[in-house]
Amino acid sequence: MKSDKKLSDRILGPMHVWALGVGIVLVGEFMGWNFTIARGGSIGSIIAVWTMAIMYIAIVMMTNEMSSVMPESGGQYTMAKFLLGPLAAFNVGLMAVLEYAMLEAADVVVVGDILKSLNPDLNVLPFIMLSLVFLTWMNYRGVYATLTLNFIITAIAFISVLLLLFSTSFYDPRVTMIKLGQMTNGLPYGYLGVLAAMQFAVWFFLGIEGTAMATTECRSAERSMPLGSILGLLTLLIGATVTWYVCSGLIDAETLGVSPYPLYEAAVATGKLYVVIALFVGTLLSCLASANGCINDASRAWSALSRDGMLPDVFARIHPRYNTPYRSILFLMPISLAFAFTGMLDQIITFSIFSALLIYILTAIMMLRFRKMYPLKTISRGYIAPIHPIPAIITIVLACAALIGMSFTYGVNILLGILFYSLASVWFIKRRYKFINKSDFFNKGIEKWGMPNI
Amino acid sequence: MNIFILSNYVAWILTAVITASLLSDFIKNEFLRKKDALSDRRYPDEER
Repeated sequence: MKSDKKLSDRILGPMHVWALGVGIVLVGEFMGWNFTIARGGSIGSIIAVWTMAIMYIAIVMMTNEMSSVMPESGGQYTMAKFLLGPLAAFNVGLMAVLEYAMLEAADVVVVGDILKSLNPDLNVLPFIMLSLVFLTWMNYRGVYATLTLNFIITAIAFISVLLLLFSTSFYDPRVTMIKLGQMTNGLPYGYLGVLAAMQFAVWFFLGIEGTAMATTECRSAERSMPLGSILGLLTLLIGATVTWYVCSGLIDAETLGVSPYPLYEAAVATGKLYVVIALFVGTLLSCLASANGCINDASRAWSALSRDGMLPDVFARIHPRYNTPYRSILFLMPISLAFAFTGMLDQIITFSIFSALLIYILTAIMMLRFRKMYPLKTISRGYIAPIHPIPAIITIVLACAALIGMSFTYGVNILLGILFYSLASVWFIKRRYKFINKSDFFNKGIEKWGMPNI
Repeated sequence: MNIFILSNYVAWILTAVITASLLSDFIKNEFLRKKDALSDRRYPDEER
């Protein structure tokens, strides 16, 4: 049956995995991260960023190990399906869809805002619509072209950050424009400020775990996934440090803490026109790359939920020619547009981060369970995460710390988020659970790995 | 005409063209595959 066709065209390499991961995240260097400075000061910001980086290193290691053996597409959703069961899988899938759909909405809103900065009379609505419709069209017509485009625009955006760094002559103390001593403000709120800064520090890395969505579309998942995602994380770590260094050295901490486009403002501070133009283009492209990757990931998670009967199965169908989950791609477009039209950018981003943090905690729990069910040497793994269970413990502790930091400002949002996922779970148990054939559900995993130890 | 106003029109036209392309492929695909859609239900329940 044609509708049973799977997302199994193995055409992606490490370059595409890198582009998917970095493409979604790079926008965080152009905006959002700088609120860490308002919460924790300049030093609090960099401490929070590097602390969150440790969490993401742990997440990438765990995700790589589990995704290297998963028999189906769907990233963390598929891991939850085989390791935790239907209810957890439903929640992880829903969290992933909302994380990416909301991030996509935020990206296109920012595209409109950047263009409006050219001329306040510009009507941004057609540009928001055009961005979303064009990227949906790209995703509809095939994953290879989509992620190749992402590779190009992500690379250009990253190069613009490096151009800004070198334009400051940071390497020559006599002429350098970087003045960290005068511009930074240390640790004004102590370590409590670091805790409060963590939720925005996540912005530098949020979405890198989405590389797992491409597992079944990779030519060699065992090689492409670890290589692409670890290179992606390294790129982001370098980018985060460079971004903090350049912005903190060019803009005073008070201004930087509230800036809508910190890297662009840093470019303006250099007084060099070519740098300003490069950063304008870089900011725009980073938003488009992020939205592009989000459409890819959200549609695959939605399609996987539908494929397994957790949602009505109309969304599971794969395009006969382009081999993409075309119904899911089209269905999610107006939903993202609706989020974008709410205009509540901070609320959208907060819910996206909240959903991601819950996924990270569940990923760590899955890893602990995976190693218990299938200890090392019982099944063949494409990648083995070192020093287990430390990465899982680090992830749980740091994700909980970020949630506590988030509750300082967005406590009500967290409660509403918990209420939303609880109600969704009740709906799932009442309306969808009966459609799930549990033996079918686990069989693929058992066929591939054999019976688990527990 | 102001370049910003012109760019608005261009953006609207491109949006309309791309949307039409997406929808025409979607409708064509759904229409041609109607037969498959009928045999697509793995479970008898109407909701699916």
